[in-house]
Amino acid sequence: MDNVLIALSNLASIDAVITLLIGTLAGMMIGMLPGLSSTMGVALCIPITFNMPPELALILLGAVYVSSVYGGSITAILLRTPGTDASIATALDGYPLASKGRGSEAIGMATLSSLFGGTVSVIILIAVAPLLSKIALAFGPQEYALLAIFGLVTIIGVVSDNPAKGLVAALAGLALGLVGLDSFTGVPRFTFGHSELFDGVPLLPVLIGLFSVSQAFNLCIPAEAGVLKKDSIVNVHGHLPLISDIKRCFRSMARSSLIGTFIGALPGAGTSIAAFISYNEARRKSKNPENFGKGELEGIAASESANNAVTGGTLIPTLTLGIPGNAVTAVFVGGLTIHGMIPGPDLFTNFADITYTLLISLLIANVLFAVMGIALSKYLVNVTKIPGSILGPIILIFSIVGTYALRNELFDVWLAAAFGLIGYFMERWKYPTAPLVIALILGPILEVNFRRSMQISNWDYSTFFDSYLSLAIISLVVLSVAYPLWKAWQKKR
Amino acid sequence: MPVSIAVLGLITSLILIVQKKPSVADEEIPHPINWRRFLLWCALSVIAIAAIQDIGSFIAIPSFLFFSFYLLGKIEVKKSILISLIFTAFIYFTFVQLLEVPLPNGILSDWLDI
Amino acid sequence: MFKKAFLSASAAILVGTLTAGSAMAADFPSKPIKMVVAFGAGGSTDTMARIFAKYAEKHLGERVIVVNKPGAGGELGWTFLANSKADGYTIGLINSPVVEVYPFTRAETVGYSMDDIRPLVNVVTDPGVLAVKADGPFQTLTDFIEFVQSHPNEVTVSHEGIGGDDHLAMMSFANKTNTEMNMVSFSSNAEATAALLGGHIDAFEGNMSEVSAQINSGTIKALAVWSPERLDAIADVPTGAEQNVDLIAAASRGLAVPAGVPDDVYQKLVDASEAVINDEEFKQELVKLNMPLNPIYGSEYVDFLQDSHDSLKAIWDVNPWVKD
Repeated sequence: MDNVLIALSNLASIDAVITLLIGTLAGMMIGMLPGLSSTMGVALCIPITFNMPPELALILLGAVYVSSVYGGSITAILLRTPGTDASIATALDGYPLASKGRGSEAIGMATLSSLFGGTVSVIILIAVAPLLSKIALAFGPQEYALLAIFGLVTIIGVVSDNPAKGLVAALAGLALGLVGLDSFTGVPRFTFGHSELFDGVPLLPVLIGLFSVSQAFNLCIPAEAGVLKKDSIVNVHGHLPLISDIKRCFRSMARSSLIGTFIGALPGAGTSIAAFISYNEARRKSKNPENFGKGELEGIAASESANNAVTGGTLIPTLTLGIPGNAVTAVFVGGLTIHGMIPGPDLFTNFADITYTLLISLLIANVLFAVMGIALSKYLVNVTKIPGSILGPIILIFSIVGTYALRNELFDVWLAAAFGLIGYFMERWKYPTAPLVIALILGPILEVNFRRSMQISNWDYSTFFDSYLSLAIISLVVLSVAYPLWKAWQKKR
Repeated sequence: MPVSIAVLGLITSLILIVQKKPSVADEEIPHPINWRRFLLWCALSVIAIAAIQDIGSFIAIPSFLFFSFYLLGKIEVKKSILISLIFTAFIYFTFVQLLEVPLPNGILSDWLDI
Repeated sequence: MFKKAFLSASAAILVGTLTAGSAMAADFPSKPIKMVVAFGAGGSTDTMARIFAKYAEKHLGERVIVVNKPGAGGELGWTFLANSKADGYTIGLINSPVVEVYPFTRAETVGYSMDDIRPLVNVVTDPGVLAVKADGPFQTLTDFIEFVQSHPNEVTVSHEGIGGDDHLAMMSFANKTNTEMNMVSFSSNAEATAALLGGHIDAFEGNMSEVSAQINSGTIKALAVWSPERLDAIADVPTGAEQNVDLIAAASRGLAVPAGVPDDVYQKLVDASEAVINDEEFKQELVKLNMPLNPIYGSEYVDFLQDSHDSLKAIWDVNPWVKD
């Protein structure tokens, strides 16, 4: 309790309040620009933080982190230009709403869910971090491989409209995932002599191409296009989601927050897995699963509460074990050690005042971005009124500059442009693009962990049935495949 | 092993396409592509990307925007120039000055310091 | 008349270029310097670069901008560095031993050669450690070696990618101790540490700075550090030589410029690096990050890289670790 009081008094200073405000605003900006990820934002802050007192440094890093994940949802909804894989699932339902003039409502729902997910995950982090990190360690290569399969099953949720075409897209993604240096032999695979492809087909250029560049074409090629469909009026239902909608989505928000926190705690699992698993669960439990992908507020709620819950989740192994859950928290570890704090049990005893300052500032940053987001959404939604022939070229330039900024590589820009065209035609021929991206993310995770398990077990397949944990994940996979089939069969009868 | 996965995948996908093609009637035909605009814009984009490295981002970006606005958007010249310049300045300040992400300067490298 | 004019004009041009040339060195640097990092933002190479850049700004009097150019395990960034304008305004971080092995392990595709790069100064040498779970069966390196010898190919040990410094270290270890181990590749030290703590692998080979926190908090136990002397950051951990395994392995991070940078500009950069390395505040920050400082300047650094290249090339010629 003393520590909490010290933490609160740390946060009561003018410096802390200004740092929080600047961090939150900067984070939202970074999240909104395509190609600028949370990792980049946090890494840019590092040299600045070295000259700051430790508590302020952590407040800044934390605020930038949580608000940049949220910021990505705004452009994903209004323009269908998700900056990172975390907000693809949000775009699936957010953009159709924005075209109907309900962008502000969608942002409102995204904001509330982000706030909810972020808060739940920080509370879980404070309450049961050591326990959760123990469970996370029980995940070995076998479990990661199975989890990736479970993630791939979520493709079902995204392609329910047209399973055959969705499957083709997913297989294309899996095939692309094979490109790159084989980390078990060191031999390059399908790279065609391009060193740029040694690490695999880079995800973000593909993502920016398939979503943002193709969107720029959608907006620019027809003579008179725009985000808004004809006869749609902005904010016709008011600019906030209805209370009844929020109530309806509450269960999804709660479930997704738990999923997000847990998956976030697994080092290397990734934000998009959490978002898609939550999205699929929400669709599966929904009374109107057919609305998903066409502008269902509940889809946004699921995806956004999950991806923001990941922020707290990734900090669990970071703070308790010193093992960063993703690239952003790896930067946090650097930030902690440079201030003489060793991640581990000490953080909650010897350095408890600073640790609690960080955790409480995360909660405040969540509230801050929510307030700013709600206040701004009413005005931001006007972006959708801009004619397509102005918006299109601007989106294209943002995509080019953002892709270039990822690793200062022109090759990636050409790649994004090529995938822009692919995405444009996929969409016209009704091939969904999301399964391709999910498969591209999960394919390599599956393959690497499968081969790692095989190597550790000396090619004994029973290794996948050895632990209760893997059996549990297998049954989840079986259930989620069997359930929709059973339902379809029942419908037929 | 990955190769076998890929081959299997491609075979199944081909089967699926063949099987499904008749049943999937395009219920909603998207309005036809205006090929002139499409090709024009593709050409503009390719020229812009190709020009980034050698001629420089801060020439390629405003020119691309101007021609897109003017030729495709049918926006008047003055307005097109204005929007292109404002937006290029925005990119320069956020990316280059604020976030220190250097973009290729090309022939402008003697005038722009980063 | 015409000839005279021509002569004076060409003289003027000549004088002009000459003064421009020497002026360039005299007032170097007169614009911001780019520092190319061949790895992603937030990694340990990037962190070191950003701290170094901060102090280099102080000593050079110009902005130093870190540019991340990750990809292909550093190859893309080094190719970029090698092909940059050799005017001193582009410098880069190079990571030994990987920077000197790509030219022969990837002979067909690699985009640079060591002749295109002129090493400036080595800054940090982060030695390898072999670690196990603290509450596991192994307490000393001798225990471990005995067990591995009697159970060939049973013990799993992690490393951070084929041909990386950890993998090379484990191959030398296996050679020297006459053992065979099951070496499992992980994509990051963080994932490998998690797998070790969760009991999914038996041993971990990685860089000291990335696991010193867990070593000091007692969750994992380092059996040996592959450095000539014990390290301050983990003073309790014995070296390999103390336990009769004569192995030196480390990842070193230093600075380099494209070959062809004028000598006086090169010297200015070496001097500035020396000033940074001797800056007390800089030293303090490295200590806090557990990055052991190991300055090697100019031609000595070139020799250091050449020696490392020669010994690794000898291993490669006998037993290449990438087989087609």
